[in-house]
Amino acid sequence: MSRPRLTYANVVATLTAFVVFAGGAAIAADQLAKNSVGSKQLKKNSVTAKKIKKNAVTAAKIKKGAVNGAKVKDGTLKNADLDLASVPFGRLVHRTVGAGPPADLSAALEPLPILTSSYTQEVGSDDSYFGSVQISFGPECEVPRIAQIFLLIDVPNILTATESSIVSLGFAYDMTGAGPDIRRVALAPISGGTRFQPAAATSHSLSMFGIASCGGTNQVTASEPVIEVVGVK
Amino acid sequence: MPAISSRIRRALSFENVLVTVIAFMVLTGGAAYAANQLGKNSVGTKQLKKNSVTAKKIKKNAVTTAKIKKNAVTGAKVKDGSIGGGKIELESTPFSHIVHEARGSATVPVVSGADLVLYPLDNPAYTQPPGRDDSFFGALDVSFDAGCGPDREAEALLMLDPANAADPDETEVVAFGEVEEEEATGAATQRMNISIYPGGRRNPSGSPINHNLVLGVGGDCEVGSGITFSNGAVDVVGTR
Repeated sequence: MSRPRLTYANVVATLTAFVVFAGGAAIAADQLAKNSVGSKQLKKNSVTAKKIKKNAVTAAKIKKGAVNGAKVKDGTLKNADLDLASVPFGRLVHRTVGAGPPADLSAALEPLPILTSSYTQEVGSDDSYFGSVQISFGPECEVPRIAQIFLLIDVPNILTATESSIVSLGFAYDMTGAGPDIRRVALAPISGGTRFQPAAATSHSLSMFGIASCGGTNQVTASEPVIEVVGVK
Repeated sequence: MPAISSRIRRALSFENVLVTVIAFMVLTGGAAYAANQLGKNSVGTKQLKKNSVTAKKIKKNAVTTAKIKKNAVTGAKVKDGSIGGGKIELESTPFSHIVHEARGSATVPVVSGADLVLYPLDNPAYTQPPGRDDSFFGALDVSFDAGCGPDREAEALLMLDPANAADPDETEVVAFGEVEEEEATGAATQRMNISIYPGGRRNPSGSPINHNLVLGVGGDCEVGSGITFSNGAVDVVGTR
């Protein structure tokens, strides 16, 4: 019986076999070729949250309609996230304030200067008009002392206004007071004052006028007017 | 002593050369060989490094609803201005919005000074659910003929569930509109807005209520006649 020979070929072949079988797996795992792991190689559910790099899930990776309400954390959506023009909720669509010194309402109807009198009513929006003005009765303005404020739309001159031009009204009545008095008067919509949804975007101009009377000397001024337009779709 | 060249020549047998080439191929090409032959489903969570899945590795539209954890998406992840009205389930939100629209396409003439005439609406019935306050708005085009002399005026009453629309109770009126032309002559058309009547807002009750919207129109010419109404529209605005 002959003993196996320790030839070069036998030694190399044995070592190769050992390296391949014993260490092959480790070598393969550490040295996986670029792009060698594809979908087929991945086990189901193998990509867990920890394996995903921060910010790796971009918009393009998310299927259309995949994010439903349950996926959104309660109370985290803010105004900035909304496309306000397409959101139908009632909201302030225009706001402007006064732009000048107090208007003297003692003589006749006086305009109250407004900073931004024009705004555009969006298609499909029902717009209502609100506001407020500070009324000051002077020391010699005796009871009954009354101030009335009109908010008009698309009529810059009150002399050309009709009843349908008035969109909101505010009053200050004082039947018992005496001496100087300052009060804030709120303007609220009147019947027919809401502007119904237009078929096309419509530019409007807003103007505010006031008139007042006193039992004695007329001493009434109006200041700090505020106008707010609330639109609902 | 044999020369080195002859010793090398003796060792260069076919067997030795073949084994050496095979060993070289296996050891140097082993990695690539192994990678190309990774079996299906052979890479699991344990084989993946942390943060190894980058954006480029994720296929477009691969992230479906089931892959997203509940509450995982916060407002900060939502692109500014990207959520439009269509994405919102309106009925569950507390904000004011139009909850019902009724429209009319008829042109309705009225007799000067006569009782109110009904303006037909195509979708007058709606249901007010519990917990929602409803307000009412509308509009009509009013046309005065040239034969309708000044002073001339037109009015519209929007009624809710009137027992007798020709003679409504004041509590049945939910919105009102009017136009007046004191000195105008000739043919003219203007849009009449209808809104806010004292007591016109409807508060919620404990159960859904079916409502019927009725629009009544009328007008008066000091001289002559010729008033028509067209393009009637009513919006119900609900607030929770």
